[in-house]
Amino acid sequence: MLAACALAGIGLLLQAGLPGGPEAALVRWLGGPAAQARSTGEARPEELAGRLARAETLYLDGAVQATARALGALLLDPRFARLTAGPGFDPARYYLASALAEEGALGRARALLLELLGRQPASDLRGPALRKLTDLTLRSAQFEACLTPLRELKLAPEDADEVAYLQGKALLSLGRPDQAGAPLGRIGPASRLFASARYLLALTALERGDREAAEDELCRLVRRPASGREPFFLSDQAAQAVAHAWLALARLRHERGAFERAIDTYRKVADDPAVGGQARYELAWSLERAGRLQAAAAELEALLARPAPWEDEPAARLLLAYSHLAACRWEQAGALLSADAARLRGLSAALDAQVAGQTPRALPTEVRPWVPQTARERRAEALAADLARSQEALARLRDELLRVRDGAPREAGAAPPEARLSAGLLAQRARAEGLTQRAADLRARLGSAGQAAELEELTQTAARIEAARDRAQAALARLGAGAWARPLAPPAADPARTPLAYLDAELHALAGLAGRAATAARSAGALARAARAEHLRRAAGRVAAWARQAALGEVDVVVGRKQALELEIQNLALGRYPLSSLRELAEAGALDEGLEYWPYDGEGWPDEYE
Amino acid sequence: MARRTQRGFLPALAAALTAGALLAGIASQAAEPPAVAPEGALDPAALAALELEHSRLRDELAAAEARLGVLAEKLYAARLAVTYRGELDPPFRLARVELWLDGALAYAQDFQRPPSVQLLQLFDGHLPPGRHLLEVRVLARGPGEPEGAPPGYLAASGMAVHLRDGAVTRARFEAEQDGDPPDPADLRGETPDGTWDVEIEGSFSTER
Repeated sequence: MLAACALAGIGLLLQAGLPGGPEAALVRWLGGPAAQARSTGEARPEELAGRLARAETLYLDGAVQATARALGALLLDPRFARLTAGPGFDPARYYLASALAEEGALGRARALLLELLGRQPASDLRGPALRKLTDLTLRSAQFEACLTPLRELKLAPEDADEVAYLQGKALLSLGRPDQAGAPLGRIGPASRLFASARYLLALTALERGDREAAEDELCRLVRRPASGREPFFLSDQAAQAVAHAWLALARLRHERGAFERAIDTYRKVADDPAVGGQARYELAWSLERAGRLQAAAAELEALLARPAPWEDEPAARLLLAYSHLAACRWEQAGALLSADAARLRGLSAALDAQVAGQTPRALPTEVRPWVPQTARERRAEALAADLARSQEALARLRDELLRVRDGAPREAGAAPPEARLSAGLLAQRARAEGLTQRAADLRARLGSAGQAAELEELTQTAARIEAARDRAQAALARLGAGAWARPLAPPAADPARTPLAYLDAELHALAGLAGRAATAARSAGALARAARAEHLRRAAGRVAAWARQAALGEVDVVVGRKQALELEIQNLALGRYPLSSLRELAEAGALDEGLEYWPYDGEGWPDEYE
Repeated sequence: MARRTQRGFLPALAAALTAGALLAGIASQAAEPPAVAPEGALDPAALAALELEHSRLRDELAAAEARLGVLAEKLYAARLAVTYRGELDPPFRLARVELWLDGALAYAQDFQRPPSVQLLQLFDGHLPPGRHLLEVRVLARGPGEPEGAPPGYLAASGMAVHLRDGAVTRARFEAEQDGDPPDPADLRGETPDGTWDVEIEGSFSTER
């Protein structure tokens, strides 16, 4: 009975009604003589305190997997049932929920947190539990699963801000920004989500085309009190929202032509670790548009001196070239543009071929940092990797269960042939993936300059590598399915000491899970491939645009030189100093700073005539 | 004077890179997905459904882990605790620590900033008595390495521990690091060089 109470506490009795289910079988064994003989009676509070302290250390040091297992086991153990049922165990429930959330077990984490929130009298951990619930809901975007049970709970007034933020985000995710304004607007300045809510309100204003309201909202968000003292402790999340608000504000000012104000605004976040790089690049744009060409070039040169490649780097190089061009620095502009045009043309040719279906189907290493994945593409890639890890975890649990069932010692001889084969296939797959990447880099280097025969050979080789990778992947899937389909041998462990009924039920349940995981992994693999293809298409489009702009820039350099030469000839014909000589004289300090000397440029002098 | 000659050069680039395009980045955060996804496209609804299915799988997996955890406590009187103590001096920044137990990932923690403690508890649990393989991997970033990219520096150390029934085995990994990675100025030069020297000492003891 005690064990049943404990199971109910963690919500593990979802399948207890099923005859032969692993939970029910384990409860029976735990209440039986074999398990009782290994126990020392009901646990004492000191024992529980020691276990909790160990689990807390594990959690705080980031060992979430071990924490979830240790605390989950504690809740299941009938020896601790009386001690774990009360509010004294709430911190452990909170840590368990947090660890489960980190492990991706969101349903169970949510159930534990809702249990803490529904506790009467109120748990001391109600506030942290609600914040944790908000965080895991925002991360997973499973709004309905959270908001529906929250409606049934009587929450304190100070909890309203968290719920309002979730409601606002849920409405935004449903495409109803007009309705999201009400809950988001209710969030008070003392809330940790205040800054994020105001930022979202500004975005919704921007979406409906109300730039003035958006700017007002952003100004309210970044405004500091006259005293200079912050009214609350600025969390990382709020600081990030404020940094993004500065960036958005600067963009709005740039967009409406207030370049000097945009420059000042960009400078507010130029050193921010998250948005500083982007802000400095856009700052260079504002400087350029404000006519401060030297400053724009200096900003861009400082940015381009960073060792690691970054997003928009090719665009920044183009802008730098145009800054030189605008200041009549033909040599610098020409050198930058011709180098970039050649490099980007080659890359674009390689990417276009890949988009058209040619192998290798991988993004060249050089291009990756320039065109980062979108959030959705990252999610698709991460999901495929997470499912692969879940399949590994299932296989590990199966091996553990089989070892108990067989009474096998740890010192068993060499690894079984399946394990060796699996390790070999994994190595082959990793090697093929590495070779595909190298082939993609090589293809990008050859660009459009490669010989047709060379390119064809590379394409064929890459196709063979990708086929080998697919074969290794298919073999791994078959090997995994075969391991789960293999009938169980008669158990070798002592039936009087081993819970054979539970082990068989658990293995059966895990086999079902493995089947679902394999299906999900296949779908996730297809989504990840679609994500990579989308990323490749996007990268090809952007690189092609940069290549075209660089090519146009090369033309502009020639046109610019020609125009400058024409002016020089006209000025010489009129007996005036040529521009280049004037520049040299000015740089040498031979001309007075106050001297205004405007050579005739062939368009008349309207201000003097009128 | 120069401005007189530049007319006509900037607009081509500006048209493609105006702040309008920059602002599109903000607006796209709340943009609706297309109603009909093209063939082979990344379908957001399918992605969300699959994420939900994975979350349910993880729920079941966590429940099975907990059941196996309580069973291991009842069946095995052997306990293993693993700690890591590391000293990683600037300019290196600790990025990630992993523990692999018998070939499976048992601990993984990413660090955005240096941890506030030097000693980390990586594992504490009951296992079958006998031989188990432990491997600790320490990943770090050098100066100027971007946060989004994989860390550039890795050190690993492994050892076998031998667990006994009725005993606690404490395994410790202690890392000391020295090195001189290339700084941004080096990387801009023609002959960048650098060093990464890590010594990880593994030891274990058994307490009855």
